[in-house]
Amino acid sequence: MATHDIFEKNSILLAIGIVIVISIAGLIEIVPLYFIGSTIEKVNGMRPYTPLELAGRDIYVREGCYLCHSQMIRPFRDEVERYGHYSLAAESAYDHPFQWGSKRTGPDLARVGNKYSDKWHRDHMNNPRSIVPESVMPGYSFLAKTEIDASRYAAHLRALNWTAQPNGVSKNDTGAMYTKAMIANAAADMKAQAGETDSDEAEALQKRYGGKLNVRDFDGNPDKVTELDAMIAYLQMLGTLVDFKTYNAKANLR
Amino acid sequence: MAHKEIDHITGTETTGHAWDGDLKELNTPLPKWWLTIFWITVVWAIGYMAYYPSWVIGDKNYEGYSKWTARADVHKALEDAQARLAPSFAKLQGASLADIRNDADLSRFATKAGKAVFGDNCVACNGTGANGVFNGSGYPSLVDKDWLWGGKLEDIIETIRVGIRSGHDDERLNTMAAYGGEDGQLTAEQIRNVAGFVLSLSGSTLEGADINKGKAVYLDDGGCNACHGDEGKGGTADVPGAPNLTDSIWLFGKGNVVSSITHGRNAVMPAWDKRLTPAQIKAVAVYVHSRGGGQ
Ligand code: HEC
Ligand code: HEC
Repeated sequence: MATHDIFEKNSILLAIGIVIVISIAGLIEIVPLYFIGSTIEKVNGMRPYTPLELAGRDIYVREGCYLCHSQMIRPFRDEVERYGHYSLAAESAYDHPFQWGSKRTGPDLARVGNKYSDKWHRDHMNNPRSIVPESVMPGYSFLAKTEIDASRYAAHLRALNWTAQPNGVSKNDTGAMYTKAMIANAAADMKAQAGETDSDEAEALQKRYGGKLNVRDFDGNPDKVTELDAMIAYLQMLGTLVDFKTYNAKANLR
Repeated sequence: MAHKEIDHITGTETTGHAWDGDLKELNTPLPKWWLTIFWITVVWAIGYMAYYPSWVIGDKNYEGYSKWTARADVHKALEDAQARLAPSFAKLQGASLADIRNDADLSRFATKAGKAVFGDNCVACNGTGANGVFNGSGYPSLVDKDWLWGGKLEDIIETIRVGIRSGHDDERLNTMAAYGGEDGQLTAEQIRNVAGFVLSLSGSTLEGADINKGKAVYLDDGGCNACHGDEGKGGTADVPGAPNLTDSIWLFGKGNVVSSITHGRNAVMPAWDKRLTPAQIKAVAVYVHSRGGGQ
């Protein structure tokens, strides 16, 4: 008993002792994930979100879509047959925070990109029951009426760079999530992506983000960049980035 | 722990500690059953760590005796299913519509597999029963005899494969342009007249429309017949894709005919050749074909 005395008679020491004991389990489980080489798969095609997609993602988080939708196809046959290839860790590389979710009132959205037409998403966001009579999803008709302030997004991209480089943002773009050019052009890129497919600005945007972007008027209103443009741009790219033709599933079993 | 004092009432050891002079605490041992389970769980945990992937060693982790991974599991489940279904899918791939109809097993397999694919991918637009969302929603019913791009099995397969205005290299493409607006081809009056003519083809009327003038617009100024045909019966083999305007089935709604002509319509059906295998596409096409409208 004598050895216990010191903890029993000293509440600060007791608290420190508790913290140490509890952290051991956490440290053993979490810390190795940062060091094992195999945590994140090697894939081709991942790129950071464009400003417009990022705005859509912000709205997704703001509206709490994750409360009813997961973005995590689990490695089970039924899920893979319904939604497509199971989600990879690499696919969440640019998600801060990730949207895996833990509740499915609606279907998983990890690979909903390019599955339906923009018009379907417009109708569905406006009033889900207008096309899926059984739906219990709320309508978000205000998205089409709310314009986005594109000028805010340069700061947003800069902030995300800090999450990728917690020790400070590099001066010469090495290891940066968003390059200086992406940040400088954030507002223009946002407008360009919701505009005409073959404009010069759209071409510059495609180059900056590595091509294959969806560039078009998503919300059916070419005059404005609305939250609905952003939401649909985000939904239409979900799960479409990784090139599964070049992905070696057998080398990434875990 | 030095003094092993026994409490004479219970016969149990005390902690050897005294409070307030004479208050003592019994050191009752843990119950046997509890202790046994505790030790079993400890042994179990060690076995578990040895059998399943567990400890991290450097930048790798110990694979465990079983070398189990969730991903290997799912690949195996998919391969097993594939192996089980491959013969049926292969048979389906090689079968003509008549073959499928004559083979009860094959036909049941195709409609079941097709229904599953339909449920996972198609119901969002075409409704859970394939009967569209409602007349005029812009999402067609697949159970009626009205087809935009053909209702033969091969046509349905192709439409599913490449989509309509989908951006696919072989997409099905035909454009209903906007005829109204400032730089539109027709005036608002002409549009009203031609809409009246179009509605008259299925026995409806439109207030304030001159049908004869509308017919002239249809055949001359508008050139609607190039796609909808001289009689308005819809797309032909040469120029497919335009709806039949005489059957009172309205993709975009009977009340929206003026709007369809003024603003144009270009509904999109996505291409499915990247999401579905050719065999799945065939199965879902057989399912759709069997819903009542197939030709
Ligand atoms: C109350 C729960 C709920 C919330 C909140 C919700 N949804 Fe849904 N969602 C559903 C349900 C249920 C369905 C399936 C029926 C349907 O298609 O409407 C669905 C379907 C969808 C689909 C079609 C998925 C597919 O594969 O068919 C998309 C896309 C979608 N939701 C996006 C969103 C977005 C974006 C938000 C946030 C703005 C959101 N949902 C919020 C319940 C919800
Ligand atoms: C280049 C071909 C083309 C021409 C010319 C054309 N249409 Fe169309 N039309 C289409 C197609 C294709 C659709 C179906 C669009 C869709 O599915 O999104 C359509 C749809 C329509 C619809 C909607 C039908 C429904 O079921 O709701 C109407 C009404 C219509 N056209 C009238 C006209 C009139 C009137 C003209 C002449 C002023 C005209 N079209 C000229 C191709 C054409």
